[in-house]
Amino acid sequence: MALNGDINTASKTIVLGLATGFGAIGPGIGVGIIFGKTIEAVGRQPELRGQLQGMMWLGFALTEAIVFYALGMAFVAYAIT
Amino acid sequence: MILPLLSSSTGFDPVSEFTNFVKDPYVNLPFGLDINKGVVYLWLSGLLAILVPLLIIRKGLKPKPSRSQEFLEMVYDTAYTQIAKAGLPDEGMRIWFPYVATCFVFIWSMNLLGFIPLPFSGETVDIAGVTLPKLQIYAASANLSVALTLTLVTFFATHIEGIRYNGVVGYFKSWIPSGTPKPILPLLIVVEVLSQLVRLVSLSFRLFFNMLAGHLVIAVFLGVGALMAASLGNAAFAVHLIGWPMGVALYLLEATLIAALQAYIFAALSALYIGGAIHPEH
Repeated sequence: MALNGDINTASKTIVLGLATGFGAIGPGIGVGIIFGKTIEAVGRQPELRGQLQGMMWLGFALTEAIVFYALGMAFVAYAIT
Repeated sequence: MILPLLSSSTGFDPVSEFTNFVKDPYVNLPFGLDINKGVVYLWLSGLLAILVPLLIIRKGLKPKPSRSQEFLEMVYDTAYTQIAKAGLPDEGMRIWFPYVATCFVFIWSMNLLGFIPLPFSGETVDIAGVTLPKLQIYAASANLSVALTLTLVTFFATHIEGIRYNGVVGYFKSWIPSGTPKPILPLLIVVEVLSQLVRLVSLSFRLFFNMLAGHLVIAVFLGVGALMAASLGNAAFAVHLIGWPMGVALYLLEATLIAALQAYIFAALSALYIGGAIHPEH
């Protein structure tokens, strides 16, 4: 089992994965908090479900986008170095 | 993307299908107006967004709705109450509800079309002596030009409406909270201008990268076995046992939830931005 290739490409690929992975930690926690809090709020006041869900999806998307900033920057770093 | 990816001899490069089509368009036109894969996908999504509602309406609307009519009413209701009403003030509804609803339906159809395998890759494959075009999933919205163009429409609409309703001085004054102490005013102006410009990046990148990363992650999970087999030997094809179920699960998640959610988010944020410019809060 011999792996061959360019050490430069290998390290860039590892860093691409690491950057995306670390970038996903924060948004992961954030998305969890958003869904958890919404469930809590709906549990307390089920009649506000519709309003809360709209806000939840908005917050979810705003938080989730941060992963893609990390991914985008990682791709840029991969492409230009 | 080749499905199923069983041969380890062919290169596996999921990114190329999102970049290479620019270099070999179907029709060459001046000024970079080439007709390539992305343009064809845009046309198809436009047709989908126009024809499906039109056909349902042409079939006749009834007081007791059929299932297709029910679906259409649900889409309209979402666009009206959840997206437009949540962001736009009443005087902006007449002009901007059609815009955000169109954004919603058009982006949704772009995203959905991105999950149907279509033969526009320009590559062919021989199966039992017959040359067939390779099926491929590609979304027009997984393209920064498309996402950025839609974002620019929202961006200009926001500022033009803000100036139209509040006047030039009134609008730009409304960016700064009243009662701000003089010393931090320059800093605040810089921050506010930056935050307006960051909206351009965030709105377009969210749509673009969600669709691009969604497609890439499906491609990678479906191909990871072949990719590993290419360097580690044929035993690594066993990775397909994990990769394919994951790929299918992600495909279902992306096609049902993320495709609609991203369209909803784009339209809702457009409505919020435009509504915020018409009626500044501070």
